Amino acid sequence: MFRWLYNKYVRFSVLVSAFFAGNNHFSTSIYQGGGKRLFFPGLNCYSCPLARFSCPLGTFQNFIGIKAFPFYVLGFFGLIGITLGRFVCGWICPFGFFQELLYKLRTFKIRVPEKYSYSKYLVLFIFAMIIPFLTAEPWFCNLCPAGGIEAGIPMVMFDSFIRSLVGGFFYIKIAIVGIFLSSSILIKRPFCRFGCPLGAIYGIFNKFTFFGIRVNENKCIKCYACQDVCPMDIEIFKVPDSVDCIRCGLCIKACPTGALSFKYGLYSSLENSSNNVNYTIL
Amino acid sequence: VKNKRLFLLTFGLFLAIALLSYGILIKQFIETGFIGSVICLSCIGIF
Repeated sequence: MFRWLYNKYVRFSVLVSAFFAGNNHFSTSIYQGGGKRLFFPGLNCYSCPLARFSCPLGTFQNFIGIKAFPFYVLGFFGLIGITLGRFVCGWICPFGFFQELLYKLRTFKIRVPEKYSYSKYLVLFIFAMIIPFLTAEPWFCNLCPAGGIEAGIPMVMFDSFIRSLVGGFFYIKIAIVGIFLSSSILIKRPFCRFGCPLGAIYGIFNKFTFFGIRVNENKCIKCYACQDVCPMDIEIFKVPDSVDCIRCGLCIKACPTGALSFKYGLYSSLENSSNNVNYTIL
Repeated sequence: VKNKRLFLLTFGLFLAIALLSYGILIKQFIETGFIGSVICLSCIGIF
């Protein structure tokens, strides 16, 4: 199912298209129109001079800060999460893709155990919920490295008025951007795995979403080829509905026995059928 | 198990669409007045 999705060029094309669709790269003024009433599914700083759509996480914090129940944004999270899970992280988010590209640089690599990936839930509760509620400020936005690289740095570089307003906190933000970008060279998608609250929200839905990865346990030879190519470093044959799976499909293509496939619908993530077992080990 | 998943997904989808529709109905959008939004300057450390 969905064989055309396994092609890496398809994913690359979708990511590039999403980047250009979410931001107006040919404008010289800041967009303030109705498009910002809609959400970009990934992190897309709506303060970015180029942004066409709102960031759902920024809007979520905004409504928590003003003590209003965020009906619209929670409905959006539910709709995306139930239909696609963390597919957005793998196919739409430009910041995630940027980290993935940085990891391709040839140097020594560090493997961080999956158990630490739950830290993003701490970030979600502390910086995107509790502190915004207490201070009425979107504190995750103040720290967000995606916002820093997409909005903060371009605004300061190209607008002298904005440059004159820069506060000391900006340099802390630049340091956060630097830490995540430099660690992306050594660690697979560090921000997506350990710090992204939006990924944490979508990840909850990975357990029961329509769209996911299916593992045929009879075909799996536990060779770890899937984990080696996985941009989130997941042992997908053990936990196909992991909160970190971004449905990029790289594991499906890498599997030498064809034990992995995409599924859409109510199928279980684990398949025990012994039909058509035909190993091709290279 | 399949029925449980079906119930969860159907109920979740219904709830999500209800929340989304109500949010749109009460116009729960961000403001886009000053430089794109009310919280826009957080990206350069002014808040």
